[in-house]
Amino acid sequence: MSGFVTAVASALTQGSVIALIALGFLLIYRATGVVNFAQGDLVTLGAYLSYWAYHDLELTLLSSWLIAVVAMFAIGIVLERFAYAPIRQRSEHTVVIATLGAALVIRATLAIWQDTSPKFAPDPFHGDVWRLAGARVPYQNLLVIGTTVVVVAAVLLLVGHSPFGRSVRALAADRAAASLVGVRVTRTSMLAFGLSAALAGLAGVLVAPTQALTVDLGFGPMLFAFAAAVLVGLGRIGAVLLGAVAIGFAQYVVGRYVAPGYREAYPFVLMLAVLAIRPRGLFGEQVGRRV
Amino acid sequence: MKLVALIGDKTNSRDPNAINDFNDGARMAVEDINTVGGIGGHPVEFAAVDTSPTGQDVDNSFNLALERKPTALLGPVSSTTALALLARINQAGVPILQNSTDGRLATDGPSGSPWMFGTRPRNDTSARRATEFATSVLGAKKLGLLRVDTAFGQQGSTGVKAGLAATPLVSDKSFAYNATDLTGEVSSMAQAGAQAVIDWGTPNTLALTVKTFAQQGLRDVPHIGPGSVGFSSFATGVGDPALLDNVYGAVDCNPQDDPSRPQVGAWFDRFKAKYGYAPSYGSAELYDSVLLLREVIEKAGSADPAAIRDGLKSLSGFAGICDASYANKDGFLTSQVVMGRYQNGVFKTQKVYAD
Repeated sequence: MSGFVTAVASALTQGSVIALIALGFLLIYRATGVVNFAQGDLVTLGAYLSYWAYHDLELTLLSSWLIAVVAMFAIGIVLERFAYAPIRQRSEHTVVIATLGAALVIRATLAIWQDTSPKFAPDPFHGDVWRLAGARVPYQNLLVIGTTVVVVAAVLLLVGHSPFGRSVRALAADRAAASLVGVRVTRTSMLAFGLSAALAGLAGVLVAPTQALTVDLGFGPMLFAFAAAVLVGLGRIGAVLLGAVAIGFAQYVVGRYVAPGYREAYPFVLMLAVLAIRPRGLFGEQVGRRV
Repeated sequence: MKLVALIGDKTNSRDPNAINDFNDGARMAVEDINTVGGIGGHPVEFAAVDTSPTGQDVDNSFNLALERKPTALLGPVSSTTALALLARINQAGVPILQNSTDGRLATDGPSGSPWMFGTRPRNDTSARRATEFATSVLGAKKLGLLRVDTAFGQQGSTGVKAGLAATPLVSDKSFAYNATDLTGEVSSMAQAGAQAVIDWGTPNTLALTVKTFAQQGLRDVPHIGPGSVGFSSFATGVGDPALLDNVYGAVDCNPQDDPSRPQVGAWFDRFKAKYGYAPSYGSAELYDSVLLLREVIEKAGSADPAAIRDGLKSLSGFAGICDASYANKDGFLTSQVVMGRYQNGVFKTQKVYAD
């Protein structure tokens, strides 16, 4: 029983981190039609910023986390201005390549700034655990899960009931028509990038205490987040938590009991299996085209 | 006389595990040699080239090294890079003292080269010694094994199974090199009743398992890792010295605690004063690599590549800092393994397996 509880706790923690990253993916995708492959490196950058604020600026842990998330919002806007806005009229492929380029720049900058040796971010709970049915679940994992639930709910409210959300939904439905009826495309795009980067930064500060902090910290989770976003259908923000948790369960619960050596592959097997049955993902919309 | 290391420093390397220990060891040896007039009256020059095991970087770094017309090459420290460079090494005809542990690099192994000599013990040898230590010295009656799912972990597993004798391996779990949550694997060790756990992972996963051992209530279970446990960057990275109290490592040597040879302690102090951090066995091995080259060049009276190669091939009984008696055995110049344990944050020698 304790093994199962341990696996479920790991799945929910991983699912939470993935959900924050995937939510960022989807916000930008809905607002701009672009998949931002710098999202993983923004996770890493957020983790390093909090580490720097805590160790070098000697701020409290909570302050260092807040500063990192706020700074990431600003960095997201800068990213939009320099890596997206100048080329947004070009093909989607060009923009995607630009986001990959931005990812490499972030990674190289981090390596120069903080060097490449692993860092270890402080754990606010000093490794303490919650005992549940014989399992020992780190409090940091509970913090990751709880924060994610609150943040995902807040983002869903924002997208569903704010002018920004209406703009995102209008752009996702028809970009040309949205701009004709007065949707402020530039402002929406900047806010989407900013919010997305802040979510990535939050994922980074939350996950950093649970593992070694290196310049490729966010790369693996980004791939899983992409799988989660594709799994539910790239257009569905509301379903992202479900997709992310499914990926976490595939990795840690299925991966515990069935051929554990292939654990890292299970999320992608699940994604491919769903796409084989439903090519637009679990909740993807059917798009028709008049010919 | 030029020596070029295929090893990046942490300020310029793309390797997230890069540290300065290796090149600083070589730099110190070069300075020591030049202070007393060089080799055969010729000063020694040293340069370091960053090497990544991926893509074109391997070839590019090797080309950059060869452009400097080296007398001999030092490194790489990654077996993946050494394996990738095999054809180039054979074609270049330059002696190379590599600093990795992959048994496939043995001269008669599938990726051996007559030009390549290892300055670390083989990976499977270290794992076998760690297992023997766990059972015979620590008295573990049931062993657990955690291993990264790469050739490193696989060879470690082979070594562990060779060293088990009659002790049962009650849990054997592999994980990805970039694993971020090993709670399930570590808790399996507890559930299986492992009395000691051999953990053949990377520095990052080792730091993760050290924390997870504490979280899962396994601090009383000896946790035995490979050589990277002995690096000061590992200890400082984990942070809390209390977490390391039951962590053991199978290192190549332990320069900070070698009571049998006072000259090693003197060297340790000199290095620490010069570079501001405690040298690892990697520093000692790179230091020794340079002195080994001086030994064979002076003995042969020539810096001709073939003469150096033959000198290394017949090397026996060379006293260095890391090993008191380097000797070639199938392309590996040492098979010494030192078992150490952290005590109050300091890695203390427990047992030396000299051969």
